[in-house]
Amino acid sequence: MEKYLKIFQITFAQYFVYRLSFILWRARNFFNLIFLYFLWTSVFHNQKIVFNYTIDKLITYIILINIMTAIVLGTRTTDVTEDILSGNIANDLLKPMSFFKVIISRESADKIINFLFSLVEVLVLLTVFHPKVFLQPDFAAYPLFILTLIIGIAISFFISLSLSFISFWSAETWAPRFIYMTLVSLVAGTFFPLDVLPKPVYNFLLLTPFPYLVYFPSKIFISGVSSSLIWPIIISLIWCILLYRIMLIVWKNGIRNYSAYGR
Amino acid sequence: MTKMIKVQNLTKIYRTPIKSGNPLRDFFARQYKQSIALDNISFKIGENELVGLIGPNGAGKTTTMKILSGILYPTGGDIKVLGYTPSDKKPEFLRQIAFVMGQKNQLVWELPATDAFELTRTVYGIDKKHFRQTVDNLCELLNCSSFINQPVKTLSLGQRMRVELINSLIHRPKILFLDEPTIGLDIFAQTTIINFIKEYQERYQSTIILTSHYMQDVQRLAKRVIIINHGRIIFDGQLTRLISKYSQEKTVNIILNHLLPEKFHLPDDIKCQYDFPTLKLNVRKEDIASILAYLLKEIEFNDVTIEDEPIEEVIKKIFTSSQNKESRPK
Repeated sequence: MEKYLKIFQITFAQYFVYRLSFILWRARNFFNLIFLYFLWTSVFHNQKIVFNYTIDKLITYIILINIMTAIVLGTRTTDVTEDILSGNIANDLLKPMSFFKVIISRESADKIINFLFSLVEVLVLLTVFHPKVFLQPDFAAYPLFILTLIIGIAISFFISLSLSFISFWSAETWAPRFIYMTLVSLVAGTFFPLDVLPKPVYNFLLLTPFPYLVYFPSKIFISGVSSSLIWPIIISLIWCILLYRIMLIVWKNGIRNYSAYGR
Repeated sequence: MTKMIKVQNLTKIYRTPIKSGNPLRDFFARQYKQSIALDNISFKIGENELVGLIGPNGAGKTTTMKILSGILYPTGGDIKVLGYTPSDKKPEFLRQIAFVMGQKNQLVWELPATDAFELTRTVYGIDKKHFRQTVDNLCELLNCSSFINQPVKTLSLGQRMRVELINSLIHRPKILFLDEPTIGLDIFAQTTIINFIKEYQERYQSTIILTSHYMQDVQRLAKRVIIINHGRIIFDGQLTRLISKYSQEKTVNIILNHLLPEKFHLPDDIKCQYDFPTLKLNVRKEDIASILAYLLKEIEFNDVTIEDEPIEEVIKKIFTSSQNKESRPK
């Protein structure tokens, strides 16, 4: 266990070496948050309810999305691509450690740092603009929120890592990742809650893994517990297991196929 | 002597895409070429041996080391290292080996080497006292106490290579793979590393497999060499045997006092370069005595040296002769 803690610690230390790039990355997220805040406050300018959302619920949604994006979508698994292509992955393979535990240690450090920064950003927003926010009064929603959040983290992790493992075969991993990122920004709910979409589109999206990344946990936080959540939760669990199996298969075949060029 | 490494009929085939020039075809029906990196090779390496792996670029040296350390899967053959199948990557196996690459960095680029050492300590579960002792020892041997607290990215290549070696040896591996450890280093740094490897092996009795393009490295370190070309072993044995088998000539260098006399005449099959005052002869070993006797009788000189053929020349000869045999279709 100590070794993984050490990796966690070193990943942390690396962030403080590249302060500038990290701060710029957070600045991008912060601008995003401010932009969405202004966008939605102007939409609510002369109406009380838009798409069944009151302003406090919608502002809470975009604040939650900022935090969720940091935890769920913030990732270091993209580095794996470069490690594979450069051959540096051999460093990890040659050591008596579990490759996946190493990745998870780095990932945790990354998520914690991103989470802390997004909290600061949200606090800045709250103190500067004093928006009304909505806190879920039903405490039964909280454990469900945490559960769906964990599922979201797992789904994002498995997809992103599988995409990185493509580099075992080809250097062209950029295109599939680009498609994935585009889909995430469109149908994961990072700009608006997905239930503003027409019902058939929304129901179709619930069959894909994307809504379960950031939208679904945030939705539970805002709308509370209801029986309509059962199916989506089952679907997200199926995706979680399926994507995990796919990731393992891709890994096992990839590592066999690997030729570690450039060494 | 216990066998640390047993390799039997090892074959490795790489599949590489070939570009046909037609992008559509390349995309939808990509053609692949099978290239044989290792062709049915077998060898054994015992405890406390230091073996030099020699061969031109692309001969299969690094592929062999990568398979022995478990990074790559073999296409065929039976490999046992310390009783394990390397590609299983069992922690008990990985705990006993180390792989140092001259061209790649294993340390954390942004942080001081000491942080990487500490990580290595926890990865291999070494107790602090042992760890301190090993690091102090190695730092002293390699003379690098002054810069282990600097971020790795600020180190020179020679300094980096030294801390790289320390980092790989903290867990006292039984088998050490060294892939071009002196590549790109100046003569001083090279000597430091080579002396260190020699001393380390004597002190800790580990098995070392080394590749290098500098024949002096191999000559100074390895008693046994394995020569690979085109994925095949073309020589495996003592370096001295290699020289006696393939090097039939010696070079005689003479510094003359006077111009060569008219009547001076050597047998026709002796290659001779004459540029007053030096006279250079390539003489077959069995003829040395008679030639020297003749020289002493016929000419006056103030210096004479007799040298073995440089090892590079010997190896070059072996490669060319194996190339000629190779011309038959595969």
